[in-house]
Amino acid sequence: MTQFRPSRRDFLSASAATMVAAGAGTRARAAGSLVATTYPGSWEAAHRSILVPAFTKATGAGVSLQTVQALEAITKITASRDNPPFDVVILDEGPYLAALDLDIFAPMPPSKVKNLAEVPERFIDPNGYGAFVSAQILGIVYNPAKIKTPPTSWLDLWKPEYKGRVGITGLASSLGTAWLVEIAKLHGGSEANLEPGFEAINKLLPNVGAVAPNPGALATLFQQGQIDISFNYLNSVLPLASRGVDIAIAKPDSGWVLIRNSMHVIKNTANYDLACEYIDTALSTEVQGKMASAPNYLASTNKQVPFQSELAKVAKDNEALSHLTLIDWKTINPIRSALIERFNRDVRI
Amino acid sequence: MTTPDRAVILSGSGRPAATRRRPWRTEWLVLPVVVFFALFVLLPIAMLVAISLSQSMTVHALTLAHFVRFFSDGLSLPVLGRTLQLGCETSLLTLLLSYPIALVFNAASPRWQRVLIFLIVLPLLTSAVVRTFAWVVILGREGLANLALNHLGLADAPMRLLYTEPALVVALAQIELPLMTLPIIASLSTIDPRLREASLALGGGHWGTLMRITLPLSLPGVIAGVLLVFASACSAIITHSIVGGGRLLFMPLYIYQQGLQAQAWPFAAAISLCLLVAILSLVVLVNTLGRYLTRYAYA
Amino acid sequence: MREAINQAPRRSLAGLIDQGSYQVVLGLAGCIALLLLVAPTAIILITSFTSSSALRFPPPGLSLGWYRALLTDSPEIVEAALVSLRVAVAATGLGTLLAVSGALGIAGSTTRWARILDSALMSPLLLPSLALGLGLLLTFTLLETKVSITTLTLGHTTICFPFILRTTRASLTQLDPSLRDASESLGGSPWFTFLNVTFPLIRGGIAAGAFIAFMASLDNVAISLFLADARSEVLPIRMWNIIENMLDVRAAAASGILILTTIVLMLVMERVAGLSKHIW
Repeated sequence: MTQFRPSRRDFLSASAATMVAAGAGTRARAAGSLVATTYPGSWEAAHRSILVPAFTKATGAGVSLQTVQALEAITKITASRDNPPFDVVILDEGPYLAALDLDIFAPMPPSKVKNLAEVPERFIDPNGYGAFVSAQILGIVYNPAKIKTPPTSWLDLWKPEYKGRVGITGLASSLGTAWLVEIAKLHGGSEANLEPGFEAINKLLPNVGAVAPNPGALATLFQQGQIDISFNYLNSVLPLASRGVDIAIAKPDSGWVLIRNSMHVIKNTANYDLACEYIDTALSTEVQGKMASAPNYLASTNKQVPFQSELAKVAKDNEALSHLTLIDWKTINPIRSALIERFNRDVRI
Repeated sequence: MTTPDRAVILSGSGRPAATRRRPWRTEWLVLPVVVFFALFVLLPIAMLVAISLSQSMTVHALTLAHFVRFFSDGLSLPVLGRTLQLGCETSLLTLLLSYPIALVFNAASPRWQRVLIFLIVLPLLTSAVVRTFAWVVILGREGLANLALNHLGLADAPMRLLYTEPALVVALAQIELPLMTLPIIASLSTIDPRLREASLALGGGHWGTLMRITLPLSLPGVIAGVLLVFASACSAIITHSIVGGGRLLFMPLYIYQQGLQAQAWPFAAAISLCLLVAILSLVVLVNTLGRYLTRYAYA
Repeated sequence: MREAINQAPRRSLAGLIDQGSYQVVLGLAGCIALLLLVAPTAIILITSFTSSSALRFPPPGLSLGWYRALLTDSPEIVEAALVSLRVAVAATGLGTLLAVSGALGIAGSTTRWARILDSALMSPLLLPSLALGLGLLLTFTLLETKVSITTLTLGHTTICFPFILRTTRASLTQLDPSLRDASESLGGSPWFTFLNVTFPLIRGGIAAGAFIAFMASLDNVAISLFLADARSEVLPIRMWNIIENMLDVRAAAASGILILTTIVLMLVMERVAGLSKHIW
C-alpha cells in the first residue's frame, strides 16, 4: 500500500517544529529577565511571594531565581567573570567581605538605586558596591511539643537526653560557622582559636540525628519531626511555626547572634539597569515592610519600616539590632575553606 | 531451491548488480549516530581524561597530582568504597525481590501478565524524584514505617530510619526493582517450558527444578539486571542526598560538590574517571563471570 | 500419557510438601515484592490529596487544595515543567532520528564492526551519567559554547537514543528479510521499501523506545545538573529543591500529576503501539 498515513508525517513534522520552537522560545525570554540568587528555604519563599511580584509590577521584567548559598555564588561568579551566571546576588557578611577583594561587584550609585536614601549610612558599602537589605537572628531552635521548657544555653544541645535528636549544618553556610564560633567562645576560644569548638562538636556527634546541607533544609527537618533541637534563624523558624509546624526559637544565654545580608550587582552583567532596579525594589519601604512582618520576619534596613511583634521582642529597631553579637568575619575568611574541610572530615562517617 | 545470483534478481531489470548504480550503502545510515556518539560521548570522556591530568583549567602541564590526591587524602577512597558497596548491596536485595516477581509473571495467565507488566513498568517510568519522595514520607520519624513498627510492638520509640545506610539500600532496591525484573522476565521467557515439565516429571521437585534448571538458564537476564541496577544505584544522586542525608557522602554528590561548588574541575574529572573505571571494571568482571557460569550451566 | 507421568510425583507426601512450599514461599515473596513495587507510588499519590500542611500518611483529610495551589500559585514549578517537556520532546525527536538510522545501518550489515558498534552505542546506559554530564560540560567549555537549553537538549539526547536503538534493533531482528527482498526485487527503491515495508512493521518498536526515552529525559537529573543554565531549570531538580528545603505539600501534588500523567501515557502507548510487547 502506498498510503501515507497522517500519523507518521505528523510525528516527524511535529518533532521538527517543536525543536525550532524550543530554540526560539528561549531567545524571546532571555530579552527581558533577570537572574538573581536567593537562599533555599524561607528566603526563597519570601522572595517569590513578595520581591519578585513587586519587581515585575514595577518594571515588567521577569526574574529567574536561583537558590545558591553565598560561598557557592561567589565561586561560580569568579569562575566566569566575563559572563557571570547571575545579575544580582545576595550574600552574608563573611562572603561579602571576602568578595570585596575579588573585584566582582559593579558600583551601585544612589542615582540608580533611589531607596538607598532610606537606608542608614552604616548599612551601605562605603565604596558603593552594595547595601545591607536585611539581617538574620540566630538562636536555639527546638520542638516545643517535645521539649517543654525552652532551652537556655547552647550547651543544652550536649545533654544526653537529646541523643539522636540534634540537627546541625556544615560550615559552608554562615549559620554553621557563626554557631561554631559561639560554641568555641563558650569553651574559651574565639574566632582566631576555633579548636575548642571542633572538640566540642566531636563530643556532640552521638547526639547528632541529621546533618542538613543548608539552613533551609535544617529547618525542614523539624517539619518531619526528624530532629527536636538545633540552631537556626528567626526568619526560618517563624514562617514554619505559622504553618503549624512544632518549632520555636529561644534566646541563648550568650545572646542572639546577628548575621547581616547584602545585595550586590555583579560586574559585567548584561542587565545592569534591571539589576539596580531589583535591589531598589528590595530596599523599598513596601517590600521591606512586607518582608519584616508575618510570617517572614526578615529584619528591615529601611529607616521607614518599624520593627513589629516578633522582631520587636528581639530588638526595638535597627540601632538596637546592631548591639547584638557580631562575628569577626575578617579573621574567619582566610581560613574558611580549611574550616569547611575540617568539619566535613570530622562529621562525615 | 537453488539460489541463483541474488544480485541478479534484486536488480529487477535483469541487469547484473554490478552495472546498477548504487549511490549509497545501507551501512552508511549509521554515520549520524556514530558522529553524534563520537562528539557527545567519546569526546566528553576524552575531555575527562585530559582535564584530570592537567594541573588546572588554565595551566596545561601534565600531572598525576589529582589522582594521587584521590587515592591518598583519606576522604575520597572511602567515598568510592562506600558507593560500590551500596551498589552491591542494592543489587543483591533487588535480585532477591525481583526474582519472585519474575517467576510469578512467568507462571501467570496472559491476562494477568498484562496487569503485571503495567505494575512493573509504571514505577520505572515514574520520576525517581517522586519515588524517593515517597520514601521520605515512609521513613520519617512519624512516617509509615515507624507507625507500623509501633503497632506491631517491635519498637516503643520511633527509630531513626531516615539518613541511615540500610534505609538507603531498601529505598534504592525498591526504586531499581523494575530495572532488574524486566531482563529476568525476558530471560525466563526464553526457557523452553518442556525442560521444566521434564524435570518435574522425572522427580526433580519444584525447588530442585528452580535451582538446577530455571536459575542457571536465566543467568543472562540476571546478570543484565544486576549490572543495570548496580550502575544505576551508584549514580542515584537524588536518592543518596534525600534518603542518605548529609553525613553519608557518595560519589555522585562528591563529583558535583567538587565540580560545581568548589570549581575544582581537574579533581572532579579525576573522581569521575575513577568512578567510571570502577563501574566498568565490575561490569566486565561480572560479564566474564557470567559467561563462565553460563557455559557451566549449559554443560 | 504426559498426565500419567506428571501425576506420579504429586501423589507422594514429599512431593506435596515440595510443591506446596514452593508455591507458598514464592507466592508470598512475589506478593510482598509487588506490594513494595507499587506502595510508595500509591502512598505519594494519596498523600498529595491531604488537607493538612504536613506530609503525613495516612492523611488526616482529603482535599484538592494543594493541586489548586500548584497550578495557580507556583509559576516556578510550572515553568520548570515546561522546560522539561521542551527538552524531552526535542531530545526524543533527535534521538529517534539518530537511533532509527543507526539501527537500520547496523541491521544492514553483517560485519564484525556492526556488532561492536551495537554494544558500544548502548554504553551511555551503563556509564555513570554524572561523569558523562561533567565531561559534556567540559567539552562545551572547550568548544566555547555557553550552557543553554540547547546544550541541555544535546546532553539528554545522549541518554535517549540508546533506548530507541535497543527497541528498534529488537524490532528489526524480528523482521522477515524476505519481505524487504520482495519489495526491492519488484522494483522498489530502498527509500520506498523503507517507507512502505520496513517502517510500518517497526513502528511499534520505535514508538515504545521513544516513549521510554521521553520519560527518561523528563526524569534525568545528572546531566541537567551540569548542562542547565539559570533560566532552564528542569522539573526534577526543582522538585529536589522543594523536597530538601521546603518540604511543601505542593511537591506531593506535582508528584501526583506526574504519576497520573505517566499512567495515562502508558495506557495510551499500550493501545497505540502495544508497549508491553517491546519492553522485554
